[in-house]
Amino acid sequence: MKDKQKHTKNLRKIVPHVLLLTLCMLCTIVFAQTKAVTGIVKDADGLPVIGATVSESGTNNATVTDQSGQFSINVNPNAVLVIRFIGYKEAQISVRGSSSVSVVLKDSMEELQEIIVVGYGVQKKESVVGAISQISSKDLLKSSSPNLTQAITGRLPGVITSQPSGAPGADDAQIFIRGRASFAGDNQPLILVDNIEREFSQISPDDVESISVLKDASATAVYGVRGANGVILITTKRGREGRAQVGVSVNYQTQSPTRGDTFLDSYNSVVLLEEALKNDGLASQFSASDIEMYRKSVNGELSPEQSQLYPNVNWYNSVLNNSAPAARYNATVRGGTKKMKYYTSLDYYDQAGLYKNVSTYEYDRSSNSKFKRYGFRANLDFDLNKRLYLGINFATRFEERTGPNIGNENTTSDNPYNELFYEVNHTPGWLFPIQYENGFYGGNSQNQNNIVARLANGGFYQRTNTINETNFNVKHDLDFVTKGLLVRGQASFDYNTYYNRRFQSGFATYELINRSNPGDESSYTRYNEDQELTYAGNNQTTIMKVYLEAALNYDRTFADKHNVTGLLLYNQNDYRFEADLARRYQGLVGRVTYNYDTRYFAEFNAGYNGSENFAEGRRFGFFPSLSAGWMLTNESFMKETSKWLTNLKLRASYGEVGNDRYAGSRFLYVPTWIQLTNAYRFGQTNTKMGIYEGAYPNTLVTWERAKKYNIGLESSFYRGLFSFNIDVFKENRDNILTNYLSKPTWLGQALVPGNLGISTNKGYELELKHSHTVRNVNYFANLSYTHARNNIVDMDEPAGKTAYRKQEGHAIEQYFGLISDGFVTSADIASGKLPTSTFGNVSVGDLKYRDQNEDGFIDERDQTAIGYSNLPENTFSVSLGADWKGFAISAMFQGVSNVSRYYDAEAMYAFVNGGKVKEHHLERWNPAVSESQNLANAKYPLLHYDQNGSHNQRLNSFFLQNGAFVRLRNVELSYSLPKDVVKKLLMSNLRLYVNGNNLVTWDKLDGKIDPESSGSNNYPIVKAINFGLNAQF
Amino acid sequence: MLNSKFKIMRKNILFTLLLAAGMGLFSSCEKMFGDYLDKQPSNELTEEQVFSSFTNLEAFHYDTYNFLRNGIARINNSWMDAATDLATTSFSSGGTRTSFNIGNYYAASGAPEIRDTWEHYFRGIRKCNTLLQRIDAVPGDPGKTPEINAANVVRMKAESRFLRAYFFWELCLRYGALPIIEEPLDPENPTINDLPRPSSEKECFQYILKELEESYAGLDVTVENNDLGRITKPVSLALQSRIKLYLASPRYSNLGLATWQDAANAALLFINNFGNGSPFKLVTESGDPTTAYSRALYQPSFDGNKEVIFWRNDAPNQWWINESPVGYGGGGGLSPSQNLVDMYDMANGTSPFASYDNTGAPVYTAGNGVSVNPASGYDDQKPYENRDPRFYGTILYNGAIWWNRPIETIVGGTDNPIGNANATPTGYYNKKYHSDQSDHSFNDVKPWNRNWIFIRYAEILLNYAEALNEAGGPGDEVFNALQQLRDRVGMTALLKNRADLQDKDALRKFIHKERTVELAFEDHRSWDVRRWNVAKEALSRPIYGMVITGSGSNLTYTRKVVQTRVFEDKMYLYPIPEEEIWKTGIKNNPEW
Repeated sequence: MKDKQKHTKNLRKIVPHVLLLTLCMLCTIVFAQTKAVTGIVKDADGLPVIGATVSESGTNNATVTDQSGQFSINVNPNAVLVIRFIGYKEAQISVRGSSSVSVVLKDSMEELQEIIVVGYGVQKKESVVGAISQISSKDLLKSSSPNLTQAITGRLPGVITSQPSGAPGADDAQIFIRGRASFAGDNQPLILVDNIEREFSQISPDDVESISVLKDASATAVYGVRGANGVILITTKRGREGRAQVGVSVNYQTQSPTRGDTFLDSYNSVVLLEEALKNDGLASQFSASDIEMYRKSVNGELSPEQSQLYPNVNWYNSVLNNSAPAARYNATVRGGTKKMKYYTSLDYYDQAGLYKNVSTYEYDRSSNSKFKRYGFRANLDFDLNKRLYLGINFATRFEERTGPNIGNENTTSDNPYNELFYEVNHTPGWLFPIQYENGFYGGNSQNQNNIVARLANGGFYQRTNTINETNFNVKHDLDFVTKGLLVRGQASFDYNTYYNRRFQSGFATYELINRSNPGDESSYTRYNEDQELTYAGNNQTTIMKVYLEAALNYDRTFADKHNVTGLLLYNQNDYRFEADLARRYQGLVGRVTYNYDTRYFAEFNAGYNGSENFAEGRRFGFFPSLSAGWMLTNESFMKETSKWLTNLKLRASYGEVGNDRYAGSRFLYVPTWIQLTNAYRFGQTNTKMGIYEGAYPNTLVTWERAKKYNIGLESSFYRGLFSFNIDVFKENRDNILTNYLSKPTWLGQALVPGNLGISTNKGYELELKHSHTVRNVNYFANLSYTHARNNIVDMDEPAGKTAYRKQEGHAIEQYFGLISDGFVTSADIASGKLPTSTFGNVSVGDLKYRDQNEDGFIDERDQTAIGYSNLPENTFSVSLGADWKGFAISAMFQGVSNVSRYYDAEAMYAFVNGGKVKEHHLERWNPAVSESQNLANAKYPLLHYDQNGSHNQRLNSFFLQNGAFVRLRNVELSYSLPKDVVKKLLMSNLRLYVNGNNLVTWDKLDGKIDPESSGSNNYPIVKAINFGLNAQF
Repeated sequence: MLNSKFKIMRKNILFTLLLAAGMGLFSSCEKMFGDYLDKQPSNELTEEQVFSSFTNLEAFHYDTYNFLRNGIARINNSWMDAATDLATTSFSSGGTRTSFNIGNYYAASGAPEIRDTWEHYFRGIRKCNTLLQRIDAVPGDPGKTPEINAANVVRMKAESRFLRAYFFWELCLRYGALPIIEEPLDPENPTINDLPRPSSEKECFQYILKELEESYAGLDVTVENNDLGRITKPVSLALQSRIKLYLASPRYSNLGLATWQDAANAALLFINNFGNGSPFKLVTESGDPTTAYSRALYQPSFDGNKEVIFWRNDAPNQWWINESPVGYGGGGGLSPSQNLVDMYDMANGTSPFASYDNTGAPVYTAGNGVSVNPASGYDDQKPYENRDPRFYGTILYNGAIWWNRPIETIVGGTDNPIGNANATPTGYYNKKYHSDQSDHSFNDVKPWNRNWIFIRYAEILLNYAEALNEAGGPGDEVFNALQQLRDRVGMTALLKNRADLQDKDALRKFIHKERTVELAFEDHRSWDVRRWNVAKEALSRPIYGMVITGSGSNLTYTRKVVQTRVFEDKMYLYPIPEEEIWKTGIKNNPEW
């Protein structure tokens, strides 16, 4: 950045000289002496730059470098040479009489690094006084994930992501900026793609220029009522002046679950089943000889006919492949002239799911799920005349998801579980084979949904989405009014359609009743019947968005030292979901920045925004923020330290930001009277319409308000050898929309929520960076650490509420459950003082719960805060990397701590809903060994069958898991071919790489489940190994 | 030069300041943004529309009927009667099993009864209060004469007052004295957290009776077939009969609100005005007596059932799959107890056991034993032979033919398989509310839903018999009322000839038993044993089941305790929901 400044300074000095010189030359042209100058142009890696333009400043005299980067030109001995090449910063060099020069071009990407995208604009990095993190395209592409929400994980301090599923086309990570501060709504940040609120997960990573995350109030105040949860700005690439540059990248990856299954085989399962039945005093289901047969079956000692009677089905492997392929192809063309620049890209992504293809349908209907994405983008810039600029973005995406007709596989949204994984978790492997020898699909009365049969015969779905996004930008210089002023406008129109069709058919499963004659069809009981495939209907959604914006910009420097910018912007936003009433926002944004001599910075930001969610008079909010910065290293008194202290900046901000996002509730100020077409029926058919009073409105409802404080320090030492950044933040959130818990029930009426809640969130972000070059090896090591802890101060809990049950004073979404004090011992039973469990009979080896209220019962009223919340308080990442002569290796470890997770029953418990047992159940309290042995070794309570285990099987401190983990999130090995080799291939750059995501995970879950998983009834988290190449022509 | 630069700068700073000032100004003038953010027109109803159109007002009123609750599997998949000695639930998570039955009324599983009842009826009361407050200002239906409009107003007011009184009755029965709320409370008024609670239930019951009496005149006597299910005069009289019976009972008699004679008179008033077939009468059927009894419950009123007086019309159609035997793919759910089975008389009209207590249940001897009345012909190893036909209409037992096959609750049988946690623990399944097996199938989708009955004529007869016996001892009138119920199911042996029923105490026990048996699984037992002041005996006794082993006709029947129960005196009343205690000044009920 300093370089750039120098450049401008130099330029200012040089220009008059050059002009003078040129004049002289013009006057004395006949007498002019020219001199041959030769030179070589290289890039930062020392490789020759071919085809760079070398021109004599102020003349039309120019040449280009040859294949070895060399040039020769006849110029005036005092000439200044200007060297330009696409992708590099322009360089200038004075000949000053020498006959040979050497020029090193710097990558223009470095320059981009210095520009930070802020709300409604960009700023030079050194003048940024808000808390903003940004990553560039280069870092994004280090992740092999084609889903951007995953690709940013660990790369932006203060950004916490959590990926709940790896399902093709449904694997978005949730994003929280600096954790959670509100207990209303989703706490999700505002996400803007090229200034427009849009989903960004499926945008091609190659198209992204930068992702900027605005964290403190100073950065987000301009977003007013929408900015409280932070803002993410995604900027797509634009054209550059120069010849067309073609980029092609090809990626092929293979994905597999991070965790396999740990179900026990049939033999071990029935042994534990018998133990559980005995523990519950239930009758035995399998005799000793049966169990012996299962042992043989597991060892493969049975004939096929016998083994269908004593099956050992691994349902997990029967429906899931070990790995699934995915491929991504991307081509970009980028270039332009002075007047017109373009960036276009084509992206194709094809991902298969993990399900086996057992489909019986024609027309290529696989029972595996598939996701295909076709993306197209054209970003165009036109300088229509000296003052008028027009920018146009077109982006279109077609997404196609296909798969089997199973619940929650993009077919129904109300099913919290993926049906396939639910059945895999519940269908015992010892009861019936997948298919009997005669081809009948196995089943019984409790397990009629043989999931293999469903994949084969149950039907399928196809979902197609079309996403159209357009932006139009106009800028007009108003220099003629006053220097530095310009007016600009933006309009965008997005139109998305989602169309889902489903086909279904019933299928029969069979239970073998007469076990002595499995060959005879009459030996079976049939459940359901095989049916023809039928159309099961479709659902369609359309979303239309119209956004308009107009702004005045001002940017001017006075007396070389006073840098002033200003912005005044009006915007309005209209979002229509199908035929619903449009969701609308409207607002004014203002910003004034001032810096003196790039030493002292001050910034005032404000949003004056309105949301249609609130009544007139409560609708608009004014959200101001103030920030200040001090660049100490630009002070003259710091000259002494400049040898080692390259950069030191202090900044601080305070501001207020709003939030109007509360899950689904709109128009809370409007009284509602709800109409039911068939409320109650008299007689046989006299159905009466009904009307009732909806939740009592709140005319005072208004935005939630965040008051944010931030202090930051940025420093670097020895010209970037080390750098250290820290941000400390605190946020007080009030007016959080939350339910009235103190209004009596005898009111007889539900109330809409009110702005009652108060919470705090505070923490810090640390960044340590080190990079160095030793001989030819460049290496770096970066560490980032974020801590954020929130606390509910007030959520209208009644004063009389039992203290230990209050959520106030705890984190948002703090886990509440029973506290387990180990196992019940025979001494506990003998004492007769064990509280009665509301959840079932209690024996030795069951969990011993604390009777918090000492009422003699263990029940929900004994639940209290346990563990942490499900959002980690600490997230950290370590990135390491080195490159040497075109070889580069980098790795990023990412982890979280201070997080609790309660996975689902199927992940943890034995025999849930007549279900199965897993490896960790072998370490149960074993009634066959002594109590002291059990107390020393047992890691799971006494086994029970089905619901008899409900005393143990609940959210308690025993089963609440420590969700901390460290993951090798990303590792990459790449090789950029030497330029001379590349040149022969007619390319300017060729990079080959292999990278992996989620390859290794260290956690405390003993393999039960992936720590980030949303539960074992859902599509697993995947790890991926990716091979790719990137070529530039 | 420098000077001019400064001038420009000053100008620009001024401009900047103006800009900032402008921003400040905007914060106070929303209006300049126009109406872009106003709620756009939609077709949603407004309060004004609701209370300016008589059609809408009617819709508002009829919706209030939704606050009549059906009792089917209402408490987390279990029935209220599974909180009594009549049954248990096979669901381990069944609401009553993990709350009432272990004495933990605060358990979340019991919340649908303990807590939601509170909210539900107070919501219903608010609706009634709103209607009563607003109705007079609503213009009549322009398509109708002023007379008809006026009559409709009177009728809807009366129905509303009845419903409010009924909701309040259901509340006070459970929670004791409660604040009487006669107008819709304003949520923004802070004093609503501190409503005065009457010092005794007396005030509440007086209010309920007054409301029922005052609203009586406004109710219709009968309604068109198409309107069956609406509140009418007979419904009001029937509820008054029940309330007076309760108030005359030991638990409430000290309130001095009704004597047994008052209760008898109230029942007689109904019988004389609306009973004996004009129009209400017991459902009778030639042929199978069990069918007659079954039809009283499942036959819809519009299809000729003249026994039902007060019911909710639309209990969901296929609810009973939840309760059906597991061998049919059902959920088990409601498991009748041996205690109930033992309460049925023999078909010949005699009692199978030697003695009965005040809860109506036979007195067991030590060690799960029973002392059989040998004259009855009862054989404890053939327990299901020759019993009261109502037994066959209420309970599915081992060997009962249902849906074209015999029920198998024998150990390991189809309906009591090993390893199915929902299989009946008692050896019995519920049959009541299921239609005759002939037109029964699992996919039986009738064009109508079923009744959930609050009051049927049989109850009125039982109310009358009980009150009259208490008031004056055994007599022809008492026996006659009871005899009608027995005759309907073919037990025609004359009760008045039974020597063991000739004194008031013995007849009381018999009536208690008869009431329990007749009205089993109709949500009466919990309240009857409480008003008789015998709840501790009835609700803390062990629940028995029948273990059947052997094969063919060579079966062995063994009684066993399947569940023990807890009941303490404080449980005569429910605790006030704890959230309400936190929010309001109300004091919890004694000892809670």
